[in-house]
Amino acid sequence: MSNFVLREGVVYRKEADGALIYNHATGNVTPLNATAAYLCESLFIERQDRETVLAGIKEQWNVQDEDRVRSDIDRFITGMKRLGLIEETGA
Amino acid sequence: MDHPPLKTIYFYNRNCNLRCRHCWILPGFNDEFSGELTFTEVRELVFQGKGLGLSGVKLLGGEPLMLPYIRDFIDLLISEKLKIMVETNGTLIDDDLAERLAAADPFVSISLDGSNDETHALLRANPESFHQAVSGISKLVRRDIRPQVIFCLHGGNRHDLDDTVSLARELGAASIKINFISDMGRAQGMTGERLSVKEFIDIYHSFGDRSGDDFRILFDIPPAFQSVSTLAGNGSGKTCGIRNIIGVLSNGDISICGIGNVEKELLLGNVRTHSLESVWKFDETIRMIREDLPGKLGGVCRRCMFKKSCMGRCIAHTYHRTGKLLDGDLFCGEAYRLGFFPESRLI
Repeated sequence: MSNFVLREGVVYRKEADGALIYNHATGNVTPLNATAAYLCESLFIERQDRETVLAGIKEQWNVQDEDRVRSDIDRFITGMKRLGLIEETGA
Repeated sequence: MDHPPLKTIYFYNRNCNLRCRHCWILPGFNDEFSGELTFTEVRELVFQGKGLGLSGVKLLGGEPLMLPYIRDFIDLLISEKLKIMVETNGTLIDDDLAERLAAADPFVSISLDGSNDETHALLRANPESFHQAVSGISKLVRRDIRPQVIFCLHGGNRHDLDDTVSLARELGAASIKINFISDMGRAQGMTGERLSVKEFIDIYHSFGDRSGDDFRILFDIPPAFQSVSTLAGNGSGKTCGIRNIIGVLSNGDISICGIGNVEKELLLGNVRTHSLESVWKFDETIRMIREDLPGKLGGVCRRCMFKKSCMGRCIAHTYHRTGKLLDGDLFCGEAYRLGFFPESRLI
């Protein structure tokens, strides 16, 4: 299970070609492309663990390079943290 | 109290060499308006601006390139290391002007409302203006200045959109921006020709995202209607930066932008009688924009997730129609009223 959730006041909106994240605290909007939207939903809403997300990415986008996907997932989480959009949860 | 930097002066020539049917600023034809600032006064204005944090000057009109001191003005801005932005009909760009601009790495936008003289002249009312504008673009491109073409979409040229996009690309422009014509200024007389909000949005969606790495196609449409991919690419068209700009007309009148040319209530002073600093720091309208935008925006803007970045889009247009700056964007308001404002963009 993922240790991260969207922060309170952070709104996720699914769109045809990705998603938008609105942060009530800052008033900022962050656009996510389709892959980033998939990561956001899987990791922070459905709270799937990284290996499950990794498998999902490989299947949906037909990617073979696991190391690269792992690195992309880590970078995505780091970016979302830096923007103050996710927080760690104990549960 | 701290004041944000005055980043850009929008300097409007009140006169123009064309009499375009959709112009919102109602400029005088040729040298109809007199009492204009001298270059000495313009230079003083620039120095005052620098004291307030000025980093650029945008030249607009009317037609900015017919200012009698335009060449000296450009040279001054270069020597003061200020960013130059020019919005022009392109008809007056000669080799000398292109050469001077080339020394500045400017952002230049040039109007082209069709792929041929006939369609272009539907708005410009001057059959020569098409070839002059094309020639102006070519002169800039030859000097490695890749301008943005501005295409004002209406009922009479919508069939020519694809060809104009192709022409802009072939000419070497960096981008084309497709503008919505608002019911403002002379455009109020274009009833039946102006597109509705719904038509414009439909064209945007059906056109799709055809931008490439080397050529961007931008629709002047509020972010609430832009696709995620467009937004991820920094959006289609920026806001004017209303909280960090001031408008100065060529007679010295100061306003929040060019709106002072048509709305006298929004004149905040004149550079001949007021220092730029006194207006920037103490004027009530400027203060209100600084403090209340975007927090007190009304209409659908109040609920829009893009309120902070969009800033009500064009509050001057809103004022022109409603008498209030913060009443909320009218394009979005119309879409909301008719039921096609995207629900997912509301908070």
